Amino acid sequence: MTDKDETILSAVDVTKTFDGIRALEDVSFGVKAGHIKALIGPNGAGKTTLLNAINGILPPDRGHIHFLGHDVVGQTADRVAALGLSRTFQLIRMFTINNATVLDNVLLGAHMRLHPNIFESIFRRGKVDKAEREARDRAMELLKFVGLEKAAGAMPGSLPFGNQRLVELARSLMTDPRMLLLDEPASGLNDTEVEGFTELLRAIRQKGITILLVEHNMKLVMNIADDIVVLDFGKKLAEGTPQSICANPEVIEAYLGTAQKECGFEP
Amino acid sequence: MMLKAEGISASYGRVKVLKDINMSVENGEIVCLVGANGAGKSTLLKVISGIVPAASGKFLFEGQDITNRKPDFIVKAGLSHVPEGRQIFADLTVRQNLLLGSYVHKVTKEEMERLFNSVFDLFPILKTRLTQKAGTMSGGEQQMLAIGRGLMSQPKLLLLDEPSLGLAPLMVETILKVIQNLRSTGISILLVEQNVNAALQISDRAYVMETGSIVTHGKARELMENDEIRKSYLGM
Repeated sequence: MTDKDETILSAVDVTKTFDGIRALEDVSFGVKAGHIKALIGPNGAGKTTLLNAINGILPPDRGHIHFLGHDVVGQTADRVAALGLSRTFQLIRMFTINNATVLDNVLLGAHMRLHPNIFESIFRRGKVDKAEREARDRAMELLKFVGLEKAAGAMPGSLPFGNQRLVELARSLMTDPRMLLLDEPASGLNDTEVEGFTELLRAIRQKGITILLVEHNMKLVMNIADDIVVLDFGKKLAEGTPQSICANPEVIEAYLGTAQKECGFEP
Repeated sequence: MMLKAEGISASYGRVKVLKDINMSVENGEIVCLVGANGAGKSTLLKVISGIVPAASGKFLFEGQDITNRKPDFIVKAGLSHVPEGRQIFADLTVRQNLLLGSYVHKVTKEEMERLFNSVFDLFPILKTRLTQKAGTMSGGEQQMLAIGRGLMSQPKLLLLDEPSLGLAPLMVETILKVIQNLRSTGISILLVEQNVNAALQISDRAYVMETGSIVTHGKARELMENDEIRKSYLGM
């Protein structure tokens, strides 16, 4: 188990340019093991670009990113995932080919850990079957964890939007991650659903999984984040506790506006 | 009366998703549809604009029966739909996206100029981005473009599906102000919004939907002040 105060992810001077436009400029921050860290900022500030740099989808031009002591810059997204860093996306991605069910979608997360070779597949069928059975049990367990065990056999497209988000979360957990990168997981959820989702994130943190959360829902962020980093125009604008971020005039001006009252702290 | 729905029902396959919907939008009103995910709000917008067929009932738009007419006919009649998730053409420029919105009507060069300018008045940022590929803009800018494209067909009624989705708090405020500005130019608005609090604050009336039916409706302010409705239906 990782020490609570240990930094599990660190980014130093991360810079990324698109067609001469600086999307990220010397961004440095760290995430402590077992924490929920929120990454907030205006649309276009570079939040998704930063996530892409961290999990290897679009490597930065310059700078260092370390995850659990490994230098992940230049590693492919699947290698980073294998290190224990799992990611969900702004737009839900559900697999629907071959009539894939909700359970199938969660099982896909296990693919990374299930890799029988051809010898095993032919001569050690029992071992392979057992591994698959275990994966299935684990997937059901995770569906239960997110409250969707009854929907296991349903087509993902038939589920309300909010529940599709939960399937995606279960799929991410299926990879047995040390850390989750969540890109706007609460967008499109109503207040009641956001409350349920907040509890779920707490339960995930309880399991010892670290979370980096990109989110515009300030009720969620201010309720749950241990600390917050704010990006604006590709640069770090502020970093600190929810209280200090809520009271920061620059953050209010660039991002929060009247949503500051949703922070729930006295200014 | 701008829009009136009488006994509308619709199905996806065998699943009934809308049941006996009766609602209306008066001239110059902002009307909001609220309810949980899966209640049928987006589907209702799609049935109004002819993307999903109505199984029964009828829509009157300024007295004209538009039930199950083709989407282009409905746009031409003056009803424009800004879909959830923006659905802009990412590989086209901002200018091309806007132009696409205007094609249902034959417009002269002068009128086109005026249309573009009326969109720029609302969203000055789009003027500076005309040659940029739409997909490279931020979420807030894309939402502005989607609304701008909807306005290029010169609608009398604008259907807005979750315009605040994925937007930063300040940008949500901007979009809500724009919606109010649009109304003051005489455009009626039917709004679907998950951000219920904000939506009710700018709406005149609201309909609350649950599993395909309208369960209650009334003045936005009264719904907001009713504790039982807030708890049972609005998730607040």
